Amino acid sequence: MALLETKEITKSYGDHHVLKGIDFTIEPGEVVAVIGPSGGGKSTFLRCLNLLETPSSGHVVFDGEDLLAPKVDLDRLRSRMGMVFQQFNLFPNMTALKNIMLPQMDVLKLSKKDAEARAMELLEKVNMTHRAHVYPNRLSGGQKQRIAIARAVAMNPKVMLFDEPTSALDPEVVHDVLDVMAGLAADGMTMVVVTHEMGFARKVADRVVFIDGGKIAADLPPEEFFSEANTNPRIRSFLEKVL
Amino acid sequence: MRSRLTASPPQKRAHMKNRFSRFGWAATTAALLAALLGLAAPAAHAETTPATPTPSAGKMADLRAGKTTLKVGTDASFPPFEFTDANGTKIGFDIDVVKDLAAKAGIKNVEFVQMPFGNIVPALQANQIDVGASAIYISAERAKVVDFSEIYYPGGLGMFVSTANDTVKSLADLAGKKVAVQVGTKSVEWLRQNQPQAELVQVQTNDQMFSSVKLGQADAVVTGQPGGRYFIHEQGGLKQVGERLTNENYGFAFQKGDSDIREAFNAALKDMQSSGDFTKASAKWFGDESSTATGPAKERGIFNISSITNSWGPLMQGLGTTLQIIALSLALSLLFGMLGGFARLSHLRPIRWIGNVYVSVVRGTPFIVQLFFIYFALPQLGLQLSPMVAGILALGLYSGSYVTEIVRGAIQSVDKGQMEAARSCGMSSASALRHVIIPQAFLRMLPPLGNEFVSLTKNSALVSFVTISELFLVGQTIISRTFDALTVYVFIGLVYYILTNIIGMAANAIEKKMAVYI
Repeated sequence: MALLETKEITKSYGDHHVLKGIDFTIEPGEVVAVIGPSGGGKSTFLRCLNLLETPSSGHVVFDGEDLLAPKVDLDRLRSRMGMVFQQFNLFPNMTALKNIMLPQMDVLKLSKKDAEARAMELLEKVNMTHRAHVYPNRLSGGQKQRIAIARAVAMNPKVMLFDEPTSALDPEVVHDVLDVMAGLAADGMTMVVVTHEMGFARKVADRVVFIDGGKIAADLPPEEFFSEANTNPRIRSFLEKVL
Repeated sequence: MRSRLTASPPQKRAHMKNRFSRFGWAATTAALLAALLGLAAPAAHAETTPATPTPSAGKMADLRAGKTTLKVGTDASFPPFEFTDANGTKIGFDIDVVKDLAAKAGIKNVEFVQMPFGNIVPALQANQIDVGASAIYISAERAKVVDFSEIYYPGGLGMFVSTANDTVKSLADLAGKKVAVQVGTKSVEWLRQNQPQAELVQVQTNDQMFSSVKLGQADAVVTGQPGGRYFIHEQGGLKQVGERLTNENYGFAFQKGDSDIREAFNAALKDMQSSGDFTKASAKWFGDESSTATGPAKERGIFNISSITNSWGPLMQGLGTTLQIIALSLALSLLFGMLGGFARLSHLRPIRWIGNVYVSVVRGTPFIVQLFFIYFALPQLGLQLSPMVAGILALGLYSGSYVTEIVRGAIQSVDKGQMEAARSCGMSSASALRHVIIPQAFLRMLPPLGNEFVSLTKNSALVSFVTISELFLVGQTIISRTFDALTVYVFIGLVYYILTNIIGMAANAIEKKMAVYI
C-alpha cells in the first residue's frame, strides 16, 4: 500500500489555479525528487501533503488516513511527516539542542532526559555536536539546515518532505546538507524532495516528478528522465536551462 | 489641633462662598456615555433604580449603633471651611460642625471622604456618600437632585484685586478686565449676567484663582468671601473691593429622600445654635467680623522646601497609594492586553469583533470620561465600585487597549515560518504559541510595553479625580493650604520622573537579558 497518496488535488487562489489535479503516490522507502520551473506549483504541492496548504479539492491519504476527513487528528499525522523548509525556520529563541528537544517533549511526550539523548545522537549524525548549545543566530545556513533536518528526524517520521532545502544556502555548504539527505535515503527514509539540485535527483532519487503548469508532466526513474531519449520539449527546455 | 491653630490662627469672619453646578458636567458626561453604549433607558431612570434606594429608617439605627459609618463628602481645599493640616488631617469649620452635629444626633462613626467639589452631588446620587459638607450653596438647581439641611451659614460673592490695583473699585470697573473664576462655580454665570463685559479667566482650583491675580494673569477675582479673605490673611497681596455681590446661604446636602439623617442634622443644628456651640465654632474659624485684612504680600522664598518636609508623611502615603495603583493597574493592563490581543487574532469572528470593539471604544474615548463613567455612571446601573477599584479598573482597561495592539502587532510580526515549522512537527497551535511564538513576540513587545507603562504611570495622577488620595491629590491639598504651587509641583513632577525612569530602565534590563538570541 502506498504510504502517501494524492487524488486529483487542486489548489486555487481566486482565479489563479496553481494545482490543476495531481495524482501522486509514494511507497515506503522511496525517494522522489520533484523538479520543474519556478511557479509551476512544486512547493504548493509539497505543502499540500501535510496540509500547510489546504487543497481546494481532492484527497490526501497518508498511512491509510484521509487528511481532509472532518475529524482527523491532524497534529498526530503531521508528527509522522517531517518537514524541512528552504528558510530553515529554526526557533531563534532556543539553542540548537533545544530546537531538537522541544517537539519530542511537546508532541511525543518524551522526558527531558530522553529527548536530550536522542537530540545529541542526531546532532552527532549531522556533525553538529560542537554547536549544540549555540543559538541559531550564530549558525551558518548549512549548519541551520542540518539542525532543522535533525529536528524533523527526531520525531521518527514515516516520510520526510523537503521544500528546496538547499536553495538559500551558499554553494560551498550545499554538499554538507545534501550528504546528510543522501545518508537519510540510504537508511531507508521515505522522502519527497522539491529541489533544483539535478545531481541529487539523478544520484539519490528513485523517481523524478516533473511539475509544470500545475500538473505532473512526467514521473520517471532518473536514468530515463535525464536520458537523451526523453524528448518531452518542456523537459528538454527546462534541463537546458538548469544543467 | 491646638498646635496647628497656633500656626494658622483663626480666620476673619467670612460671608460668602459660591460654587454653582460643578457636578453638572460630570453627570452629563456619564449620561452621554451611558446613552452611547445603549444604556440610556436605565440611566434615565437612575433615581428609581435599586442603586440609589430610598434609605430606610434602619440606616439611622445602624449609624447610631455604630454598625455603619456616616460618609461625608468634602473637598478639603477650601479653607477655612474644609482643608487639611500638614499631616493631611481634615480640619475646618464644616468639619467641626459636622462632627458636633453627628455626635449630637447620636451617630458613632464619621468618615470624611475627599472628592473634588463637583463630584459631591453625583456621589450623593450614586449612594457613595451620605452627606455633602463642603460649603455648598442651597440652590433650586441642586435641590432637584439632593435634599438640603436648614441654612447653617450665610455667604455670598466678593471681589478681590491686587493691593497695587487702584483702578478697579466696583463691579462696573471690571468691564474689559480679566477676571479669574473657578470653573463650574456660580461666579461664572453670575458675572456673565451682571458684568458681561468682563473677560473670564477660568481656572481649575481655588488657589489658582488668587495666584493668577498675583502673577498678573488676571486683574481681579470674583469668588466667595471666606475663601478670598482666608487667602488675604494667609498670603496677603490682595484686597477686597466693593460691596458683597450676592447674598446666599450654605447648607449640608443629603441623598434625595434621606429624611432621617436630614432631620437628625436639623435637630442637632438647632441644638448647637441654642447651646452656643455653634457660635464657638464660628468664632474659632472666622474670628472677629470687623477686622478685614488687606495686608501686603508676605515675604517668601521662591522655593520652600518646608512645603514638602512639613507634609512628608502624607506625601509618602500618597506615593504608596500611587505605587499600589500602578502595580495593580499594570497587571490588569497586561491581562486585558493579552486577552484583547488574542481576541483580535482569533479565527472566530465574534471574538475578533469583541477585541476590535474594545480597542476602538476604549482607545477612542478620553481616559477621564471612562474613569468618570466607571465611578459615577455605573452606580446608576447598579454597579457601585470603591474609588480604588474604579481607578485601577479604569487605568487597567485604558492601558490594556494599547497593550492589545502591542500584543497583536508583536505576534503578527513573528515570521509565519515559525508557526509552520512548529505545526509541521505536530505541535498544536496552543503549544506553538506558548513555546515558540509568544516568547519571540514578548521580546518585541518590551520596548512599546515600556512606553505604555510609562504612560500608565503618568495617567495614574488622573485617578485623583475620583477621590483617591494618591500623590497628585496629596500635592494639591498641600497647595491649597500653603499656596506654594511651585515647590509642590516641582517635587511631584520629580517623583513621577523618577518612577517613569525606573520603569524605562527595568524594561531595558529585561530586554537586554532576554535578547541573547538576537
